[in-house]
Amino acid sequence: MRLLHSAPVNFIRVNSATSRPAHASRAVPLVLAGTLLGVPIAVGVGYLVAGTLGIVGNAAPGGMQRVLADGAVLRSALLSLWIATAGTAIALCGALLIALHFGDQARESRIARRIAALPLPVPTVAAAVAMLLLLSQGGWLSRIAMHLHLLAGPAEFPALIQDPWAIGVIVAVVWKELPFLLLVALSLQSLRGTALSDAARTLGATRLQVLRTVTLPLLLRGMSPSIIAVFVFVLGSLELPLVLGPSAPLALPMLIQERRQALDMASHGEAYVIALLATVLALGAAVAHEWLRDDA
Amino acid sequence: MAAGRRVNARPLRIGRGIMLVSLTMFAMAPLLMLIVTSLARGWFHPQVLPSTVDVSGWSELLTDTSRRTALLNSLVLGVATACIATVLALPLGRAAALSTRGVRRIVALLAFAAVALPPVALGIGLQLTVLTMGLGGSLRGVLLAHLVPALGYLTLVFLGVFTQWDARLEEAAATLGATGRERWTRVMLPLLRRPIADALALGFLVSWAQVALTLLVGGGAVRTLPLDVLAMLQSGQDQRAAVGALALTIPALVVLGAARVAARRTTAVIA
Repeated sequence: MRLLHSAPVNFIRVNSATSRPAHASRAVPLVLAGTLLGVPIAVGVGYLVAGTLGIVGNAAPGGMQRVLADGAVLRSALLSLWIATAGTAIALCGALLIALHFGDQARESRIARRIAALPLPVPTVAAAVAMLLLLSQGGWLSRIAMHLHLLAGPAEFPALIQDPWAIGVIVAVVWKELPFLLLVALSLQSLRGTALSDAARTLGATRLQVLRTVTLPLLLRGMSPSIIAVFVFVLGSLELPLVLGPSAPLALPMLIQERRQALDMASHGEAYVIALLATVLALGAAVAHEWLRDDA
Repeated sequence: MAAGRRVNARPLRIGRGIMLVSLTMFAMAPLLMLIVTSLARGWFHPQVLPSTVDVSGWSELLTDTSRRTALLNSLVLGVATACIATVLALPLGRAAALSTRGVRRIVALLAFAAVALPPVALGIGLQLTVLTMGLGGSLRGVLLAHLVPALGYLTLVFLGVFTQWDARLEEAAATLGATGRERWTRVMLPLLRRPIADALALGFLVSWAQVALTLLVGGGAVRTLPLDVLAMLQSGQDQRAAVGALALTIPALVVLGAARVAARRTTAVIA
């Protein structure tokens, strides 16, 4: 099964490998990548390490101990992980549902795919503004509900903005990231074709069995780097929690901003430490992302 | 699977219809919300629709000095980021794709890290660097910061493009007597027109939508359209915020076209 899945990719690679010119060098790409990508990353991470150690930024020492003992930091980290996990999981389920229902060549399927892809290029700030106007207690949904006599007043509308469960943030994440995961799922489906699921059907598997044991595992395996990418983007995003998120606890990027802007030196030092922790999380995910890719 | 579905199509048709309607509402409602709000002045709860249509929010975008500056800053940053990042990422992606598997992995890892690092965390280090260079709070400093994630994205794009590239075309041109320059102008660039256009669009969008890096490195002195939108929202000016949000969205939709970005982002991540 694994072999069949990777067959087309290998085919492409064999072609390009045989046609690779003999002068292909290792030094040129490494020097270029080191200069253009490595230096800014090293500078970014380096300052955070130096700040954590109290070498730059005039921060008071002992930041690491304070941060690790600080319940607010832990609550922020948990909130951010909750937003990223719930948002990614719901977007993934929606993307799979649409990909499996509208993956064929029927006219309504093509329309559905086009509509679902619409939010993809919308800047995050714009998505955040739209969700605020739509979901707040004085927003459009609340107005429509009142118009339909479902509510007596705006206070009866559930708090979806700046609420402790960050529902508004999660809705915005799903709206923004579902199209991306959908397109990845669709491109995997079209690359793979239906040969495997047809074979399973011929061998007597029910439609549900095919879905559970063939289609979904293959899709999820192929989508895993993209799922990690979405998770990391959401974890580091400032815009959505800034507009839609709760103020206690703050999402991790918001907490970093708050500590950085605080007037006392101790808080400054903590900003470096928290940012470093967030960076380590993201770098870990980047390594996992590379590791999960079939072909680099 | 599709064939099997067609046979007993009736109940599934209805299910598909319901899904299509909910999908349309979910995808379109936020955009519709922005359009309606951008045309509404004094639209109070519980009115479902504004009583008058007011386009002053839109004309302000060009007449109000501070909004126009924000718009111009965003455009300049977006175009500059797109051009510089494309010019730098193309040779990098090509050199990496032509190299060994190990090198490709390292380059892809660095590129993804540039994209995935939390902008707030990356911005702290970049801010201090830009300050040291004497570019704090300047457009050039912000441009340098925007280039970091843009280079990451575009390196992944060109790595994908050139990994599936057929180098025999260049060799054939060389065999037929084309000089180095001719190979580029007559063979490579015409073939690369589409990926380059997509890379420019994606590079533009990365800068166009950027908030955290602008905020940190610009130190509040460089006002861009996304920052302007946030400021309007925080001061309760919903109409202006909606106009700004749409002004951010429309070029993104037009320049890229949802499907095309999609194709690029997809290859960027899975290629």
